[in-house]
Amino acid sequence: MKTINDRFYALGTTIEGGFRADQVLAEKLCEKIRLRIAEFENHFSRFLPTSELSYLNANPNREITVSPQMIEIMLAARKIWSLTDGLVDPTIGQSLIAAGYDVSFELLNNSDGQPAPARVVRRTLRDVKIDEKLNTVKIPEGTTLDFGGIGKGYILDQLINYIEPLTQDYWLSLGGDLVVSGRDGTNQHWPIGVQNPQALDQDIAELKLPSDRWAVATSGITHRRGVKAGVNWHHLINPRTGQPAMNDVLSVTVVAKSALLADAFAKTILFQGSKDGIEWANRQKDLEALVITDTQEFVFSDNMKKYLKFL
Amino acid sequence: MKRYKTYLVNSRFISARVLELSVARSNSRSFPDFLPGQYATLSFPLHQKLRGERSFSIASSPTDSSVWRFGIKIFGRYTSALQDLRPGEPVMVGGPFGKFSFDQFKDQSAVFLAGGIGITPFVSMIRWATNKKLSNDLTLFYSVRSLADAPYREDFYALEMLSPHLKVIYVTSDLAGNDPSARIISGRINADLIARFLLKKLEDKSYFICGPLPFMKAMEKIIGGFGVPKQFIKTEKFGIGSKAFIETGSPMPKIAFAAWGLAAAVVFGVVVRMEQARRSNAATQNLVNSPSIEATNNNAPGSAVPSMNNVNQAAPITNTSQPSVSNNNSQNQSSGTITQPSQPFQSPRAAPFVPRTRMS
Repeated sequence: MKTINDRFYALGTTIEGGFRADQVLAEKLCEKIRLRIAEFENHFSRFLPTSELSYLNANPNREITVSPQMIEIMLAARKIWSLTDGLVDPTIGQSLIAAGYDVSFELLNNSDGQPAPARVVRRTLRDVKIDEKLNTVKIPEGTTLDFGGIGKGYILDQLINYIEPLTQDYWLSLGGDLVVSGRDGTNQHWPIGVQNPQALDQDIAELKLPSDRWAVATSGITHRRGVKAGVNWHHLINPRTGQPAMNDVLSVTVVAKSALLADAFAKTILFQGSKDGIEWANRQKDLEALVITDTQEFVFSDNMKKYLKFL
Repeated sequence: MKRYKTYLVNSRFISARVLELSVARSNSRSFPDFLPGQYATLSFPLHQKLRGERSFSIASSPTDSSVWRFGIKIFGRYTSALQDLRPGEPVMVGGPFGKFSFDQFKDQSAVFLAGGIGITPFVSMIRWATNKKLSNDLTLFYSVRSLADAPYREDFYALEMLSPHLKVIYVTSDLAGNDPSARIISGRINADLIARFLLKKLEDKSYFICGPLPFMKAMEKIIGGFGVPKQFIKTEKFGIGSKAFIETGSPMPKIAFAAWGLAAAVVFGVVVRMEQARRSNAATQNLVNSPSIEATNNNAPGSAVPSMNNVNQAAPITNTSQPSVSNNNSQNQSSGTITQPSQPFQSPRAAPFVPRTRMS
């Protein structure tokens, strides 16, 4: 069976994938994935003024009737917020704006002379009222929702439902957050490159995972970053401080059973630092992690090392 | 006519010029059921720009218990204003109406001929037949300007995968899109094309036609040539001047009768007749000027057609037996249906197709 590949640009990043399937059906699948992602962006992008999320953000203190999709992602966000003790929180939007991340990253001018990011007093997801029965959401004044912390993982998990009726041998990446299942065209486990946080176009290691479906996500501070008024900033804002995370972690790569969890847990570990983060990872079920620190040390969770080959 | 108060659940573009409105089914026990292929009227009491009620075909399946979906082509002032609607806004629904409906017992082998936005009643019929797992053979000939312009394309892909009894043939004016192996044909629907995909006993099938007037006339002529009895040809006119539009396009006469009495009504009647004549003329003019088959809404006022958006074709899909380096960087975008970044994608490097986790 041949591998059908596709690559395109959406969600401010590169979407790519490979599917071992009948060519006609795989091409239809690729088309469907493109449309689903475009639809997702129209609902949940903070940068599209016409999106449903923008409408919600523009109407605080009102119970807004929203789509079932919005309710679903809000409930997923609440679950993640609870699992991560509030370290992944979509109400982070105001802090992102204060940090200069007020347009899609590729449009940012990183040296515009604006003052360094200021701490924003803000609320948490606990203050957002979600009514599943009435399909309404009410956000408090001064709150901006942003699903950047979980969005790619969330949509990846949705897209699996379209892929798996067609094939069990595939991979799909949304800007580096990916799901992998089965084997490649040479009947080997898909080899997964792990990005070097200090040389972004190179890989530092290769992951080989068992054949069943896995999700892999990487978060790091050396990609989306800039300097404002002489102060370094990056886009990973710790909800507890309202500031970009500052500790010994350069990047975290996580392997989990769902893309939503992998995406969220990578950030959770990053915010905690290498020691506390790996200890936290070892307490979780079906979660493995690799942390690369600013002193170029590799810190693993208990079972991660057996999947890794360093290059 | 009884109307039901409900609200808008979702509004989204499903192609460059087609907006889909999803309206919640009211919790009211008396909220009606509909037959696949019927239409309903919508009105939006809170919007100044959306005065009166208009009729639109229902594109969802009657088995969808949560919403009624309407596919609406953005065409004139009224439909353009529909883009301003936001989830949660109140909507009044009237109906359902129409006899353009698919019968699972009578129509064992049905041929659907759709022109442009005339696809909407067929979406309902096909969704319904697939949900009910019916064994009726359904063949859809879908005439569109280009594939990028074709709403519901992804739905049909999914439905074709779910149903072995469904076949969808796209007929486009876009010569570049010709791909008979994928049932994408450049040109117009004609007798040869229909015969090629239906293979046998053309006269034994039920034919359903929906689209703009020139499309309908052309299709009726073709089907008539197959010797199909008239009772097996069902049609639904889409476009300005259609019966549905004249009946429901404006509530003004009723208001006039109630408020000002008979004399005022006579004056109003004259005004309304003049307005209808003006719209009818405008519609005729639009249809004459239309370069190819293209449906309008049931009811869109006769304003100028907005220029077509430039939409990018789907990126090439490469076919490799194993990961290999490729310089063929894909261009963004899906079928140009929904708001997306317009700049072409340039990969930072000629990357091979291999899974790679990286910071996002």
